[in-house]
Amino acid sequence: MSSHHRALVVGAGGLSSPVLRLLAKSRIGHVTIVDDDLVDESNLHRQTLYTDADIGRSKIERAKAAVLAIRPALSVDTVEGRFVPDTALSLLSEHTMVLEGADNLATKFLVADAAHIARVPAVQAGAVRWAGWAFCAVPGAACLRCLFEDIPSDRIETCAEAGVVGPVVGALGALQAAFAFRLLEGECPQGELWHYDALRGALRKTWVRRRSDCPLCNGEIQDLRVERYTAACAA
Amino acid sequence: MAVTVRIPTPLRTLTGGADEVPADGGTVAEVIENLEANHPGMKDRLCDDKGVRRFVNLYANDEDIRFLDNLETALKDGDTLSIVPAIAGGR
Repeated sequence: MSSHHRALVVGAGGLSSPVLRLLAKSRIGHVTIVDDDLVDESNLHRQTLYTDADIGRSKIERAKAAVLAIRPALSVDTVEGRFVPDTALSLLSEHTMVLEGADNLATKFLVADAAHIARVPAVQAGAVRWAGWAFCAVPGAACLRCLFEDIPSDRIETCAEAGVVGPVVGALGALQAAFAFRLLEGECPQGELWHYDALRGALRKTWVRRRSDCPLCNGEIQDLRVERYTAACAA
Repeated sequence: MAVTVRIPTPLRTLTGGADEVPADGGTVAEVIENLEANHPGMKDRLCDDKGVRRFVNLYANDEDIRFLDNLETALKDGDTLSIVPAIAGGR
């Protein structure tokens, strides 16, 4: 039986490929996919939702088709565009969890802020080259700003620039899906931070605690003004 | 004190590709100074003039040093210091 849960999936790339495949096999009731990109040949080694036949086509269109091929009865919406401050809260208000697989920290912080304000659990991850992290923030517990504080002013490498090994986003996306399954079961995986290093063959869990000076947790951030997200909020 | 420092992939260019390096120091600050001596450029990647950079986390034996004594967190022989930077990618 389908659950009442509705998942918002931000980005339809490397992390979200396993997320969407596994959500389709869960009892989630609804999935909304947000992305603005087309499938490129260079994506295929890590974005396992897509095949050669999808090159040049809309990711959300092909992602929806892939998910429905797994579970035809699943309710799936798509939003062609970027996850941006103007629409973030209205989108989140229609969902019970958000799984974020964006390729830039501005969007990651936007998702974290919006989810905290909307009181929706946020399952987030980041990966580059051989390693990455996955984290679940639930209302009332540590958030992404408790962990990384703010968008770095320095340039941070992305998958598009530095590359990422396919199994790294595969493993971290599966960890995100595991968080989602636990939320579906009514568990509260608060503050868990997983680190995966494929080159060392190491998977490690640490805990993130609420920081007393976190501007999101202590209520200093109550809106999603664009200036706060310095980079373009590409999904 | 001899400690092991776990190096994340973005910083391995400074350690010749090593994912772990030994370092000496009785506090996190001393270990960072020792890292800088052996792997020049490391301190700037970890710290700014206010302390540890906001998008870098340091874990002393899996405990966030912000909840210990920050850069003055004491380390003993055999301890592990893990560097966890913000990693953006995923799409």
